[in-house]
Amino acid sequence: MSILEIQNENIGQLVALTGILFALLAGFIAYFVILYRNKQQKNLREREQLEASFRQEVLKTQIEVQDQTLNYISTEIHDNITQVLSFVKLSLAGLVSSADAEKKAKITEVRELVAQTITDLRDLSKSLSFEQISSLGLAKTIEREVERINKSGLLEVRLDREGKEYPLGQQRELVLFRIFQETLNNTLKHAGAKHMKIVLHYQADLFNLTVEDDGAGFSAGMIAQKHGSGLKNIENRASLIGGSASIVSSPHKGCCTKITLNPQKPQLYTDGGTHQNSSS
Amino acid sequence: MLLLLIVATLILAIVGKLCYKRLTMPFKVLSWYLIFELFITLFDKWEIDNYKTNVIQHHIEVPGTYIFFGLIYHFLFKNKYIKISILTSIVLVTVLSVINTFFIQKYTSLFPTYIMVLTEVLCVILAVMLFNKMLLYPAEVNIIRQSVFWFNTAVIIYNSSLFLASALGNYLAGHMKMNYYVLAYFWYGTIFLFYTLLLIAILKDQKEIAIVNVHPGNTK
Repeated sequence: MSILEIQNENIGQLVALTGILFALLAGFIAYFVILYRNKQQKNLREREQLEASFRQEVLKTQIEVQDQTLNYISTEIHDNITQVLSFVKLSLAGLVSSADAEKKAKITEVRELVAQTITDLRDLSKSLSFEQISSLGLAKTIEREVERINKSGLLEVRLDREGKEYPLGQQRELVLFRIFQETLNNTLKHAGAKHMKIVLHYQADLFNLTVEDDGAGFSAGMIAQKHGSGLKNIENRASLIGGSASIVSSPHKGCCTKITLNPQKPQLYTDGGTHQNSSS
Repeated sequence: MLLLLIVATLILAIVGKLCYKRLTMPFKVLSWYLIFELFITLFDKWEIDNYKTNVIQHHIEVPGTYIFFGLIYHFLFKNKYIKISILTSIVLVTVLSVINTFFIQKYTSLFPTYIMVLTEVLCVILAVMLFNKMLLYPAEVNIIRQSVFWFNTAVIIYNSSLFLASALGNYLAGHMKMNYYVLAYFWYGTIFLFYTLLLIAILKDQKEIAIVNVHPGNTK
C-alpha cells in the first residue's frame, strides 16, 4: 500500500473512532434526559398523592374535632343544664301549694314550659351525641330527629325507607347523620321551606340518602357568598366515607342533596380507628 | 483556526460579562473562566508566533481550567463533604501541576500530559456525580431550561474528547503515518462544540430559576 492509502485508511479509522465516541456521548446524554424526565414525573405524582393524603388527614382531624366538640356540648347539656332546669321545676312545685289560684295557674304554666325545655334539651343532647347512633342505628336516629322536627312545627318532614335495611358501619352512619343534620340546618336557616322529604334507599351494593325540600333554593353564585363552606363540608364528609355527594338546586325550586355510597368500597374512616367517644 | 478561536472566546467573554448581574454564583465563576480563556488564547497566539510552540500556554491553561471548573462544581454541589473534597483536589492539582511544570514535564519542552489526564478524569467524575445528583433530586423545571445541564454536558463532552485526543496523539505518533491536521481539526471541533454549550449555559442561567438541588433533604 502506498503512503497515501495508508493515510486514508488511518483517517478513516480515526473518523470511525471519533464517530463512535460522539455517538456514545450523545447516547449517554439522551439517556440521562429521558431518565430525568421520568424521575420528574414520578416526583410530581408522589407529591400530588402526598398533598391529597395530607388534605384528607386535615379534613379527618377537623371533622373529629367537630364531633368531639358536639359530644362535649351534648354532655354539658345533659349533665348541667337539664339538671339545673329540673331543680327549677322542683322549686316551682314547692311554690304551688302556698300560692293563690291565679299564681298557681301561672306557676303550673311555667313548670310545663320548663318541662318542655328539659325534654327538648334532652332530645338535642341526644342528637349531638354519637351514642344514639351507635345504639339505634342511622334509620332509627333519623326517624327520631324527624319526629322532633315535626313536633316543633318548624317544618313538615316525611321519612321514606326503601329496601332491606342493613348496618353501614358505625363511622359511616355517624358521618351520614352529620350530613343529614347539616342539610337540615341549611334548610331551617336559609331555605324557608315548608316541607322536607328524606329517603333512605338500601340496596346490596348501593346506599342513597336523599334530602329534598321545597324552599327558596340557590344558584352557584349564592353558594360562593353564603353557603360555600357548609356544602363543601358535606362533599368532604361524603368522600371520607367512600361516597359522593350531589347537591342540585336552583332559585325558587328547592334543593335536593343526595349522598351515594357503595358499602363494599373501602373508606378513609374505619370503625375502631381514630374516632373516640370523649364522654366514656 | 486560532484566530477563529480567539474570536469565539472574545464573544463568550463579552456575553458572560453582559449577563453577569443575572447569573448565579457558579456561572459568575464561569464568566470569569471565559475571560481567563480569552487571555490564554491570546497568549497562545503570541507564543506560537514567537516561539513556534505553545507548551507554556498549556502549563498555565490546564491547572487554571481545573481551578475554575473545580470552583464552579464547588458552588453547584450542596453536600459539605463533596465541597471540601473539591477544594482539596484543587489545591492538590495546583501543587502537582507546579511540581510537574518545573521538575517532571518541564515547561521548556514538554506538554503537561500527566496533569491533563488527571484533570480530565477528575472533571468527568465531577460531571457524572452532578448528573447523578440531578437524577436523585430533579427540579420541576424542564431540563432543557436548566443551565446546569448544559454546563455539565459541555464538561463531559470536552474532557472525554480531550482525553481521547491525548491518547490518540500518543498512539498516532508511535504507529500511524498520517497528516496530524486531522487530529487538530478534531481538537478544534471539540473546542467549538464546548464553547457553544457554554454559551447556551450562560444564556439559560437566571437567578429566578436557579434550581440546582432543591430537594429538602439535600441540605448537608
